[in-house]
Amino acid sequence: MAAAGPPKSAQSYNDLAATLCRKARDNGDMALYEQAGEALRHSFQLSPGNYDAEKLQVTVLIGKRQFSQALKLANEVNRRFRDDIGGWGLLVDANIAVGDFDAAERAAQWILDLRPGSSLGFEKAAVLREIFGDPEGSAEFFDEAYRRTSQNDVEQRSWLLTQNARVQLAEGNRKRAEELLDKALQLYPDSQLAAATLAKVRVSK
Amino acid sequence: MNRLKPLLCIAVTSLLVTPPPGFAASHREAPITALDTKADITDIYAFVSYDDPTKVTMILNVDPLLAPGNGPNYFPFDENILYAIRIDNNNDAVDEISFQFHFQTEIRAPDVFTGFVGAGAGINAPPNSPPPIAPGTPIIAPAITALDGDGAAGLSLRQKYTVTMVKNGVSTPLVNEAGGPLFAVPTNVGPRTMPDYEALAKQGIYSLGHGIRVFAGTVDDPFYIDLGAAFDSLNFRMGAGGGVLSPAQDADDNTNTAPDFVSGFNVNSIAIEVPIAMLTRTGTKVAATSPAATIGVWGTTSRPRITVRRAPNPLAAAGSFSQVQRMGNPLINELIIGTGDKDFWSLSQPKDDAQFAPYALDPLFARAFNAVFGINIPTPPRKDLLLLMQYLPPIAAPGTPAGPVADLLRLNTGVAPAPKADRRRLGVLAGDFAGFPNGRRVSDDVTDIAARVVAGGVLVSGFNVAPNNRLGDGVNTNDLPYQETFPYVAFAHSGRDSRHIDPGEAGCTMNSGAPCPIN
Repeated sequence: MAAAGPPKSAQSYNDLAATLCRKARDNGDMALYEQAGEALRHSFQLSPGNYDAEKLQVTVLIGKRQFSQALKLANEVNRRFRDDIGGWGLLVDANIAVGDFDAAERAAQWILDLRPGSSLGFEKAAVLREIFGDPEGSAEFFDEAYRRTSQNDVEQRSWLLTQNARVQLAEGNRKRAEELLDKALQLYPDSQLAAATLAKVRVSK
Repeated sequence: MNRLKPLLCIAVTSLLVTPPPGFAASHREAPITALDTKADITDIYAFVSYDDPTKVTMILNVDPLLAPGNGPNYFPFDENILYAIRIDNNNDAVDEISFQFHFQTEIRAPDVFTGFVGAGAGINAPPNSPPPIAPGTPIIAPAITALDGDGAAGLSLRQKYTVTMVKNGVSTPLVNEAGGPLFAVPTNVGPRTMPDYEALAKQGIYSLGHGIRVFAGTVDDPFYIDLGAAFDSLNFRMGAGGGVLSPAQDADDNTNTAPDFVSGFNVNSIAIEVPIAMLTRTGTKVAATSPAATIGVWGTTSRPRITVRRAPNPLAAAGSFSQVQRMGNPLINELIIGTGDKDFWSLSQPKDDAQFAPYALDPLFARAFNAVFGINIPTPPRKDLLLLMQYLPPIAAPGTPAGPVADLLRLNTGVAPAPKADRRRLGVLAGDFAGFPNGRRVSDDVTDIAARVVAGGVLVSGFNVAPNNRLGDGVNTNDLPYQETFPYVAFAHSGRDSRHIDPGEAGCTMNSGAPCPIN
């Protein structure tokens, strides 16, 4: 039986890029962003300017520390489809990356206003609350984001629990952090970030 | 001793239902108004009162397509929504005055399974009533004939509301001049429960002092349109000229040749009548030729918001609301704004509407008419449409600052209302300057007007010709007669006895006359 050829659809490459970006988020392997970028190059060849690939390109640029380019593209993506909270989420990320926290807050507030029950809104606001020195409020929103994330998306749920645990640990709530990380690893045993954070908790005891 | 409460008899125990406080799942679900119908503004109207040219009536309708028989809870206003009618009187597209409405719900008989019940003088348990209910025990409350006191026992689900005028940042509660609360008028359940509904509804018209009157409640939806044909890719019915009315059809404002999709449906309505002198920037009613005569009106619905930052004092964050929807001119968001920006538009402020200019300067709606009907349309940029988006003549007087591009309903308060005999459904297009787009009356045919102005380009030289100036859906009037006095809308359809006038059914015009065409 002949081996399958390369994917024929842009969406397949987008899915690959998204998976690589998530993996990079978890293990910090920068080379994965390069691979994700390569997948997106194929995606654009098959479907020039496709919206999903442009969104992922912002994430790749942030991952590769090309923050100014990421912000420029995030603004373009947002202008293309302003009812898409995913685009506003990228604006939050890119503005945080360049240190424009006011703009990041405005973008996050748009998500909360546009889709008040969305996991994404709580997640981005949680990140900002931590930046603004409100760890308790940050943990509250990470918890909300977790509750509103699909049960099937175990990787994202695990990541949110890990973020919450990181905030708890910084506040000295080791027991709570350990509980959250145990749960994160139950959901997604392959998470290197959760395992590493759990190690930090146990070392700190 | 009978310890059981009679099933349907109202022992009035006021139980105020309040929303759960703070950050909870009961906060906004989604601004997409298709998913948040309670916050969905169907229409806003503003016109000089037909029977009192010193006043303006503004009507904010929300919560569309209410089927009149849809019990048992029917159609309460949403306690969590801030409803507002906003007025710009200095041409900056920012509200100098707003009227804000909050509703509260009482469940007065928590054990009763329906919101409204009543019949005659009341019905007691019959001789064959099995125990423990003794014969003669009141079961059904008397018919509902009042919003409060005697005759109101059957109103289990009752809503009160407050009105606040915010003028230049100063809030003033407007209260019932006669004392007592303001009650929202419930829907018309049917003739047994509410035997004289018109009299009941009229009790919901309150004077608030300063010459202001208010009404809130469920009413007949005054809007009319062949919605099914319009959104079937402009598949208008051949019985109505297929989208281009004959001269005879166009000239008859009182006959429908296509089905009114909204017929037989109710809507929730907030109407307020205010002296013009309270609305203009001069504090007086001025002549139509004055730049101060024209005001901009729009409506908003807002819900409590969740904020990125927690307020240091939680109480300080209690008043924070996020806009869910806004409306000035009819059909702007529906027909002009692209689907990818509709929610963004709804949450934006009118003063920032220049960001949506690409949609208005080359509207896809006009391109669709060009493609489907082959009509000539003006070449973009469509600056003729700025009449709807700025303070410009002939609506505003010469010399009026145009202000920013903003979706407001602009009303020249100096133009006298047209007597009923002179009122034209096509408003200004038909020489009736008391109608849309000089404000908007409940009877104005904004569908035909929008088709002719936006798609037909009839405001552009050379385009005010057939077929452009005869575009229309064939629905020329409402299914119920409007009132000539405040609140001007027709009261609610009966839940028991109303019907929708669908394609192929008899009585296309106000339930009488020829059948509505199917094709």
